[in-house]
Amino acid sequence: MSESNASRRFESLWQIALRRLALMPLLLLAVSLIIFLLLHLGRGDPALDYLRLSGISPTDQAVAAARHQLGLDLPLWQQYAHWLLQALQLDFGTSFISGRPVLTVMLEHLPATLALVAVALVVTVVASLVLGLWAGLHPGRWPDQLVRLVAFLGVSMPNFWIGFLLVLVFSIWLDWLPPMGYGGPLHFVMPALAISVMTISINARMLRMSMVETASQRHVHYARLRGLSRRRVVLAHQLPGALLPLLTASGMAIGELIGGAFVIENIFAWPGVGRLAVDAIQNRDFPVLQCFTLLMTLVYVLANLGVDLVHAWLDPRVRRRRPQSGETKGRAGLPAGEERP
Amino acid sequence: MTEWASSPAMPATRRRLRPELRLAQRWGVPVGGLLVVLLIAVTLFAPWIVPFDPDQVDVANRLAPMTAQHWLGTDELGRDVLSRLLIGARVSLGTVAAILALVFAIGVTLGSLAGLAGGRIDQLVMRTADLFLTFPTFVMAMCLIGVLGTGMTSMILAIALTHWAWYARVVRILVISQRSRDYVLAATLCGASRWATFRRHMLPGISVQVLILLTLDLGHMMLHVAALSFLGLGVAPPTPEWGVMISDARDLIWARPALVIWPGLAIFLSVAAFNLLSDGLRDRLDPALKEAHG
Repeated sequence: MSESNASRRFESLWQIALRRLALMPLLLLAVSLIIFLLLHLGRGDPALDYLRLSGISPTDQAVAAARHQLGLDLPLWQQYAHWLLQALQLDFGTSFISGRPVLTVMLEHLPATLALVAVALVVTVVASLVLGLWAGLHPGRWPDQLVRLVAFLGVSMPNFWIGFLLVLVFSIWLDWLPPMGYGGPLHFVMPALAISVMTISINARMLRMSMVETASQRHVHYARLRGLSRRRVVLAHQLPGALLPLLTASGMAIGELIGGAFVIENIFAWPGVGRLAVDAIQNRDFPVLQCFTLLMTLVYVLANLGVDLVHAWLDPRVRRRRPQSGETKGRAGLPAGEERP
Repeated sequence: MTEWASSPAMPATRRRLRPELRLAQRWGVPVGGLLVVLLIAVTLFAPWIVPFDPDQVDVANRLAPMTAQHWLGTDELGRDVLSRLLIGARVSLGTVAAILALVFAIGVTLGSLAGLAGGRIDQLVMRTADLFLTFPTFVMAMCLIGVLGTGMTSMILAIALTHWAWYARVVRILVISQRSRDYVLAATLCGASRWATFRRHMLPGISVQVLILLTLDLGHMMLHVAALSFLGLGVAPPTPEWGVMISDARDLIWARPALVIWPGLAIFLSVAAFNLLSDGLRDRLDPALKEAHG
């Protein structure tokens, strides 16, 4: 196969990244439009929410003034165009609750959430590697049974309850860890553990399964027949194939971890986006809600892109221009479905 | 790889895998099934078996320890914890049942539409489903509640709207694979209309398979309900929902940790029951389910 032929059949990582990034503005535009329409056509009047949160009594005069001030008396498309123009200049309006610029507030809270999710992701990958390998190398024996039991308990416990149990044991009874707050590395232990129990359980199960599956593949049999040591067979021949599903699963874990972080932040008084969002949802703080939704879309799409790039880098098959049918990615690896007459 | 998988080398590995599979099969379905039946019984009969009115405030008797009268003690307003837990089962299972019905309706409708119509409609429905599958369900549910407003109805809608896409995809594939089955072709040849063929010959089989798949997801949905209610975005107090009870008791964790432990244990046991049952069923039905969707 000649060089040019190969480059025609495979995309470079740059091409993949550019193609995906080019779609992003479109996605953000679609999400912003949907959220805007739902917020403005849905129940409730933003002007009333604004007055309530600002502590102004809602007289007819005040409502009319607020509607004018917020631009709610304009036609809907003009409102959206106005909002979009402002948003393009990174001005998402001011929060009804705090009266401060929304983006500033968001960016103040984002680092704490991202730090928590990043730590939890590392914990997830390391712990599921250890547990999954341990179980996958002893299928049916007691390590396997133990990991399966732990994983089963892990997927059945609500993460906020795990958070409280951890506080109870490590802060109240043992007095080892700070019960809440944000600061030193010790503050990360319980929140990160509470949100990663679920993803560790899912990923460990998955790695165990793919280890057992690869164990019966031809190249692994051949490696064993060649008389390679067990360690070498596992590390060089079995693990690489088993790691790819784990990578995909870790990508999906990011979403799970972000969701978990939003819940857990409320227990540990963590100064992240989650508490901000919950406050905004309860009080219907429209500008914050719009910015929050877009920010989450951005974070999640970027995180997914990162995972996909690593995947493409490790597995050239992903870079093929026309993926063969049956290789579509999805929660259950559903095939594309053959169209028959 | 497929030829290798069916070669005689496989049975050896299979046999080594068997014991644990048998363990899950032997205990998973009976134990999980028993717990689920118990949960459903509590849900149905809760109003008649509760020892106290779950909303009855008794300030003189607040934060009572476990006694013969109040088996699990009382909460910060003197309400009987056991009664609230039992009624809470009703709230949890009720909301999950509503979500299940909604997801079933949306998934089967849109999935069949895409599978039967094909072409542009198919493309539209499936791209929309892809969009929904891209985002993490919990964060998306939070955003939707932000739009719809807090409350039980909004929460049910939000969770259903974030879970339909995968089922629509499964239904579409089932519909497409059934279109070329002999009995469907026979019905068409006999002159049955497309709608009649679909309703009589395709829908019943698809419904059963989708219902089974949906029950596998019940535990996951229960966790969503509990977490959203805990955050104050779902079921509102004073309704005795388990997540709400934990939220109510959070400041008492130093003084009365039991008030946090009991509702959490109730959530955990219910979710575990559904997961146990579904894991066991999945192992048993695996060949059938695999054939259906991958």
